[in-house]
Amino acid sequence: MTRLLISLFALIIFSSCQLATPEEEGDVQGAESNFTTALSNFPDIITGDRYFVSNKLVSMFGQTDSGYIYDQIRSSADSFGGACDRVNPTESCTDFDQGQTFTNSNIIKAAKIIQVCERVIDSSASLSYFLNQASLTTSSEFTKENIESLYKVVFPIKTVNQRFIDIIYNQKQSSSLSVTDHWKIVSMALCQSPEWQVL
Amino acid sequence: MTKKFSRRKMVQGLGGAGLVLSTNMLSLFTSNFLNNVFATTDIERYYLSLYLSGGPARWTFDLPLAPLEQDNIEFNLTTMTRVNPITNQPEYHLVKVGDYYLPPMWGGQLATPSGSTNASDLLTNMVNIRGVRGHSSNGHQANRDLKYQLSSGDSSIHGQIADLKKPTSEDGIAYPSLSSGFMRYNSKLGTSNIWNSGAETSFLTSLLDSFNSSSDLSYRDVTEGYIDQAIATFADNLQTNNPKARTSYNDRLSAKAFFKKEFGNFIDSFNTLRSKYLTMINRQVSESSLLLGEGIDQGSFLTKSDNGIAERLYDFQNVSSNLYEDNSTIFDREGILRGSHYVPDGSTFSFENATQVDIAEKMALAEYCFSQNICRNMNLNLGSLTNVSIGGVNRTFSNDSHNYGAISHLVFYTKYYQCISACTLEFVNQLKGLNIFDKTVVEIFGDFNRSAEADGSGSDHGWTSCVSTMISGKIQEHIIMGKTTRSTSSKYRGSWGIGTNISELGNQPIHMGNVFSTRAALLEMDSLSPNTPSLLRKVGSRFVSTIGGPESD
Repeated sequence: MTRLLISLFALIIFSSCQLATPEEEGDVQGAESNFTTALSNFPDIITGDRYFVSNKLVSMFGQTDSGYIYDQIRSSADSFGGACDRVNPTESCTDFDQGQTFTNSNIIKAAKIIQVCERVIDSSASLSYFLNQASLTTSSEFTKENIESLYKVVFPIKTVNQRFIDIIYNQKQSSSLSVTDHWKIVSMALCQSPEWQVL
Repeated sequence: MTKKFSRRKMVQGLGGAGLVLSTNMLSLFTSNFLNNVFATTDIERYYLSLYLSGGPARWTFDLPLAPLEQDNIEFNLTTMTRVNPITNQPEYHLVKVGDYYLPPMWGGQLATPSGSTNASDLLTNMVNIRGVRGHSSNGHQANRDLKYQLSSGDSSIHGQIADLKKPTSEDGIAYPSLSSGFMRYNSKLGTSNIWNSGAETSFLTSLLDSFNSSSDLSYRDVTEGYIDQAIATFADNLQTNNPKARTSYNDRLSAKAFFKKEFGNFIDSFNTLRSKYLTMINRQVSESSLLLGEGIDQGSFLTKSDNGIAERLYDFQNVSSNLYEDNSTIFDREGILRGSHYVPDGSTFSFENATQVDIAEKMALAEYCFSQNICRNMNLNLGSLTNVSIGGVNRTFSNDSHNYGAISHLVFYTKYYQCISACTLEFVNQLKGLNIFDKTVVEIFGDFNRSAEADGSGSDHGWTSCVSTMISGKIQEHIIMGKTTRSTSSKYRGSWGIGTNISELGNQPIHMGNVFSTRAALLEMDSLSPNTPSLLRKVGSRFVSTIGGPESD
């Protein structure tokens, strides 16, 4: 039975290979069309809009830097998407018609999140708020269990990505940073991870 | 040039991952396959579309109606290319440049940053595709969409190019497609499209300010690798194994690469480029040594008077502008409402203060982004000429030139296209200096051409006679192609570039898909419209027309 399944799988693999011209048969003319066809088999993704992203970050890091987070993200409808909130007096809805509900992933969005993450992790109050949600402090012992607790602050219902935990934990072995810096590293990795931005 | 795709490597890669059957396996494998395809398609390519929104007529620029035999057309008054200096009457006149008869601007000079040069310098690497059929709905938006995306399910031009970039941090900075103007964009991978409809300086500021960091994180350099490794582990799980989702990971790496570029002085650099292009434009429209001379830039016809030229040829009504506000004290308001002519008697066309900030800023943006390797894939919507003085009043012309008479059209658009050509030539020279011209396609496109009214009073949307001009280091001689025929309708009678059937295309006219395929051939990527072949093919190191030379009747 196992052999049958492997054979079936191999058949699927090599059927897939027919999408592209193999090396020995020359160049790859035509592969890009097949490539786009193959891509259509994947569902489109939706990344969080400016409301989702800014609220998620404030929920993670608290109110201390919320003004900065909102300035960077909630005011960037072009990059993050999210229709204009006409009821909100702080919103300028002159470009209402051009607003996009959701935007593609883009580097501006990624850059602004990096900026926010660097700001909040550089802020002792914001970092403490984040760690405190896992009952941790910047001097808490840097263990896999504690890293996992912090992980669950960001991903409360997702299965824990054990490789993430391992890599973050193992860096402790090969660096001479302080325990505070170790907590900054894991906080930065969680903050910048695109994983929570993909809905 | 194409890259190899290795089945062997692919299988080896899969073997290394271990053959564990699971519901995720096919997905994982397919993703590996796609990544291999990515890797094989990392051809360095640059694409800049200069878009003429509104659809201005092209007769004074890249649509010679009879490039091989001047007399082989039926003259339509709106397509006039000069006033005959002897008879003082409008005529269709071309100049011989190289192998072709072309509109007079090509016999003139173009401004350069340090002087001037022959306009024909720009022709060396140019292909003009005439008589392209656009969208039969004849509307601006439908035709505009068609120029970018053949159908709603396809990638757009810029989306396809963005998707074909190799997703590594090194190349990632080339990901974004910058779009100035709200043009259709669709990416199969959901790759970056950053658009802006405002001033280019604010565009650049909003773009590059995103990559400045004031944080002082001493541990950053030491820890960056760990953070990247840790984040990368997410890419192995089910959700992010989707290559469309993977783009968000690549964009993060791209953003990090941008941070390291340190754009501290970008505004000064941009403004220097902006000033360069703006100076060239101002000189192009006003400097005496750059004028085309009798019949276009000089002559009594430039003053509206009782000179035997029909009044309607001086019309310049702007159908979409607030026509009445700025001119009510000068022009005959009642006359306007009645639909009469809008150039007062005795008025003179003057370009002394005419300018085009829009073109200058967008060309500066393109040069800055290409030279700084910020992006390689841009769509810029060019504005129209401003501050053209008519009767002492500064006017901004519209590219949707319905009610522009033949004279207004001639003097305005000749200058306009000279400005675009001068800037494009300078841009091309910069590309040559960067050694990327051979990898670049600059395309000049618009909503459509115009359908010319036979009495010289204006034009309508000309979806049957669209023109695409592509300029690339891959093109080594001026090529004009496309078969055009005349209109027999009473209103539009005469020749203005209607595309007609071509035997090499199965007795079909040139379809927009052929333009997509031609562009794809130059950019070395597959066409999104494989059933409508490229109009260029490579013979040795040269691209040649697949449909022969231009034909006209």
